[in-house]
Amino acid sequence: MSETSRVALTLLAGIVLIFGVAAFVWLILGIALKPTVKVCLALAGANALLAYSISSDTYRPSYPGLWTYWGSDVASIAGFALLLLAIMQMDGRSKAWRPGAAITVLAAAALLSRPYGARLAWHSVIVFGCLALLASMMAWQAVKTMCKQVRPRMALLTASPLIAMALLLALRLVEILQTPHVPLTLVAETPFNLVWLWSTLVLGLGLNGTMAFLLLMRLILDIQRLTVRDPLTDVLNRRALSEAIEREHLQSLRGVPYALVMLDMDRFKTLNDTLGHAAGDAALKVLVATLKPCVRDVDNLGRLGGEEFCVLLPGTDVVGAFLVAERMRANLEAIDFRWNDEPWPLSASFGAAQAEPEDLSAEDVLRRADQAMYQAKVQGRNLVQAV
Amino acid sequence: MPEFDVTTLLQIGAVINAGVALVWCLLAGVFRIAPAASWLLAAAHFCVLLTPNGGPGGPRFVPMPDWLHRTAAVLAVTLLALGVRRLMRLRMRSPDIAVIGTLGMLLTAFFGLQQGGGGPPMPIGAICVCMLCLLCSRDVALGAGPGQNRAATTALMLPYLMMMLMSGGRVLALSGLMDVPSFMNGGSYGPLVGWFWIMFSLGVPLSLITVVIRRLIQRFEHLTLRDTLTGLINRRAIADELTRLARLLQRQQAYCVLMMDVDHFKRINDAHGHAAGDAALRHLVSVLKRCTREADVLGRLGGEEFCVLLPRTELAAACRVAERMRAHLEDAAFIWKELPITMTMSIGVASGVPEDPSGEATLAEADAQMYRAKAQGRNRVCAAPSNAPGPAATWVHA
Repeated sequence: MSETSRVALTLLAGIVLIFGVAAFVWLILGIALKPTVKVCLALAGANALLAYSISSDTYRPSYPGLWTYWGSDVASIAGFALLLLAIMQMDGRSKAWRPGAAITVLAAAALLSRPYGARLAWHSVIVFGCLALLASMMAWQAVKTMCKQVRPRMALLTASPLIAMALLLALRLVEILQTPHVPLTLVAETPFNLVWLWSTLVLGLGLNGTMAFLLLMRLILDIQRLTVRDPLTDVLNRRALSEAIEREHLQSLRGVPYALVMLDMDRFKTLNDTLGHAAGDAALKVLVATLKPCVRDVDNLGRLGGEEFCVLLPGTDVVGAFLVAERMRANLEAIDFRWNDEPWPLSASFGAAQAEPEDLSAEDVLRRADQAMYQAKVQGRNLVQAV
Repeated sequence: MPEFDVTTLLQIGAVINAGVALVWCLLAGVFRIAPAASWLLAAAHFCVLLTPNGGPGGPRFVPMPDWLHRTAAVLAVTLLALGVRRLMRLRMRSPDIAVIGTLGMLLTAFFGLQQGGGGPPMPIGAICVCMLCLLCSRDVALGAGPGQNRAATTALMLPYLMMMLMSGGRVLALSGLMDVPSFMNGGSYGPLVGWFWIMFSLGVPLSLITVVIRRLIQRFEHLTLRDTLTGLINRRAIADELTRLARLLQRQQAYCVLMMDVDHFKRINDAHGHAAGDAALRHLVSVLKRCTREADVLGRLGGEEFCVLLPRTELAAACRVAERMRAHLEDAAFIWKELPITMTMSIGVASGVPEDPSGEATLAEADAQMYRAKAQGRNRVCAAPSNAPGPAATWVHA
């Protein structure tokens, strides 16, 4: 106890406080943030385990026992395993708990295999070895996940707290290996220990901040997607499609033609009234899945509302649009749609029109396509009409 | 147990404040979440690093005279109060905060210069901090809105209330009015002050970030549950509301469903274009909103089909509401390009029955009544008396 440094002890208490507060906040967020409840709970558990591990580590001299020695060591490894789990869950990996759980169980058994005596080198090597391994796995996983969304430099920057954490733990491991005769204590007043504790504190903050940013980014990306996409069918919504058509119309003034195909599902109201609204939703999804293979990358498929859809075909005249619509109609007719084993024939009526030089706005083209579609409805549905 | 080291505690607090300032900078610069408020809050946390947290003879992070430290503290809290008000989107100008903050800074600097560093400080800075914290907690309470959980709102206000108590105690101690516990009076800084400081440094940003995240989630729900054209709830959300009302029926709270469809809507679209059709639907919604109470639920089922859920309403009252809506729409012509277009609609009314736990059958019944209204010549209200066998009633006001 004579070597106990007040500064080191205060730092340890600060670290415990940060992990404890973080655990509490993640728990609250987990309850409130329904879409990512598993990630939040894993983070809360990780922070709580780390807070327990560090605080029980400081109580070793006053309360020696299995829970302050072995429990503290295992808790720190399990905490890191949970952090790894949270990162892998954010990436949507299945069976994400496996690597962390395997390392924790192996380390727990290895720690029990030798008695805790005056010299703890064996145990310290295992603990910090495992922690360094888990931290590098986390860093690797985070960089891989982020590279899918942002540039590699940005990904490295976001994952830098994790990389620093891995380095820091590896440094501790090197220190233990170099001076195996000095028992490890976190409350020593050595410069190395103080610097190490400060770094741990900063990284504890940084780690939780990084996790919060990763989650926030996902939430924002979801919101951005929803502002241009229809939530049910995931095609462009009315506003986004109108903007795309307006843009294309401006292009057409420079001589690049475009065509529109309007389509409306036949007898959708009857389908809803007979089989229920859930069946109607499913039919719309099937419709979109059938239409999607017929459009190129440059084309835009959007839902105008209800059972009405529209396809924007840049660089296409009305003949090309007619062919696309006819292919869509034939594909849709061939679909065998069933709801609770009850077959229901799906079909749609199509109207195609191309932009003419005398069109004042895209609205005129849309109206012609709409009238053609209406014509198809009048002529007996499941037809393509072009003007 | 050895005592905690005050200097280290204050340093930990400083590290936290620097980190939080960085987080607000990132939120403003990279994520563009409430940029104005975020920049203000980042500035506030940077200013906190200049405050005299070590007390007389304590540690300093920036070498400055005492009075300048105290001025920086008032500046930090002023920026914090401005940031909180921006973040809460109260549509309120901030002359109060500006006046209190500027006055506090000027007077602190003035008395500081006059005393020349000697003698006990005047309690002006602490008084201003106390008032600003009071404003902050009021803004948080107002910004949370009436629909929020009261316990959660209180928890969000807690850091500011505690800060107010601390600075209040400092005012009492400095003015010599009253003896307060030593950790509050600012004269002797013990470890407890350090711990309090760390708790504020963590508590204030966490409470504000919770507000930001709560708003993001609300926005997410708004996008998934609402129709983008009219802002009314969409079919999925209507189904949930209907189930809720059907459950209330078991507690003897009657409810009714109105289904409405604009007559000859296709003609408007064809004659004047889709933009006119969209504007017509918005006009209809504004008419419907004028005829509904706060508890009523308006929804768009798709296309030109709308539905209104009326909780705690008997069939006869629901028919009166429907008739009022029909008449209002007929009277209030919709103006498109200075051309009045008369819109009418057909309405079907049905009341909830205990045999229908999800409300789907009631909605279908209202739909059937709406079709009957269409068949009978449109622009009218049709209702079935609680789905019981018997002659159905029709209200016709031509």
